[in-house]
Amino acid sequence: MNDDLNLKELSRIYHAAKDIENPSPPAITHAIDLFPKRSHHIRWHRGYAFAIAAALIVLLCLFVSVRLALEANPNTLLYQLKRTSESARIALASSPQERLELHLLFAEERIEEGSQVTNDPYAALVALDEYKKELAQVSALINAQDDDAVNQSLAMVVDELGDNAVELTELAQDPPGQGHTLLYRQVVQAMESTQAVLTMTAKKEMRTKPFNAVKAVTCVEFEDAEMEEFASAEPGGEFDEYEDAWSLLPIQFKRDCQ
Amino acid sequence: MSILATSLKYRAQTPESHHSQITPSNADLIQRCENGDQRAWGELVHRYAWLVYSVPCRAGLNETDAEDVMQNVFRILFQKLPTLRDPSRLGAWLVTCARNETINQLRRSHPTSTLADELVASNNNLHGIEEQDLLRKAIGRLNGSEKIIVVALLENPEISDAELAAKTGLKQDSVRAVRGRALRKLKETLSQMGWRV
Repeated sequence: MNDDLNLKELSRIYHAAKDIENPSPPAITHAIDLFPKRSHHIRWHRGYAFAIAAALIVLLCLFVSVRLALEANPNTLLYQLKRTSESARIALASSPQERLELHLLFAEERIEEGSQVTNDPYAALVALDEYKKELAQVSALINAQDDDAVNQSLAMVVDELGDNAVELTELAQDPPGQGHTLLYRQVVQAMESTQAVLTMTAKKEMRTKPFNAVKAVTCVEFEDAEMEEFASAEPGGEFDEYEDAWSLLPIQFKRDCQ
Repeated sequence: MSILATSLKYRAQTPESHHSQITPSNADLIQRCENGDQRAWGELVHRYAWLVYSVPCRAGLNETDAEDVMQNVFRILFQKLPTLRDPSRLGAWLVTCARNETINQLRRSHPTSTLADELVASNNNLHGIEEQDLLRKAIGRLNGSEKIIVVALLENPEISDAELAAKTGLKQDSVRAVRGRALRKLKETLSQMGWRV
């Protein structure tokens, strides 16, 4: 046959190889393991390293922006971010009492912003408008919730809004951009909103804590020096006697409460 | 018809692309390895494990040392993958690398022996080692009775049809048919693998 010569050559090659066995399966597996573990590991870690680095950069930028925004006023670019972060805090609040406290805190912040932008009446207008919105939320929470915790916070509402009333008085006397009619009207409206919430709180407090109610009303009547002194007093102090406090209340308010 | 002629006819009818789909080239496998394909590396190891392992075995190393040499060679291959210039000559490259690692292993495990120096001096025992590897692989692709007949023929090219019939349990007429078919397949497979004998 034509293939005989080929077969002899193949036979020679075959005999040269036949005595050598294959390497053991574990040895082959070990050789295969040289590649995947190392390569797979590197790729896996590389992918995660990029993802983690990107996430850290985003978090860092967010953190820096929020920190800068905390100091922002209505005439700065970061003010909207500040308001958004405040809204997020309110949305994440776990109870009506916590939401009430946050709205009070942010209301105070708005007045502070208004007094800081003395050279920009329009920014002050925005701040006071936002103040009224915060007070509307406070009012809604006090009205809507028959929550014990909220009721327990009414004393705090009185204290905070009393402070706000004092600061608004100062703003009314020396508003930013003096002579700006629109701004003056906004300050007056803010004061009226504060008085309305204080009166509402006083009426609610009258049933259980008359001293707080009296204090709330006196905050509204801040023209009278004696009443202002009374407003700043703490229970157990000089004006602890309920009768004394009651005698100071306006007659109409007493009628409303009875 | 001669086996060679049959082989040429088969090659003419079989596009190269078809062949490469069945058995990817070294270049394809290396490219896939560089892209992180674990299976491509596994295929490379399986393809050349015996070739690499046989080098230290021929030099007289025991099974453990020979497997150590094999690990080292594949470790080096893995490191050199991105810089390999001619993937079609990977077999020869691995044989040379295995020979060098065998010499190193001999010097480590038998420092007083002259085996390493003898291996350095003579390269003859590695001649044709790639062809031996191809032949083993080609035989491995044959089916049951074809493989029995081809192995028997390679053991003894003068074996009679009667003896083949006794080994396979086939009739002598059938043995002739299977023998012809098996040798054709062997030749075709070798040809596809780049056999140059």
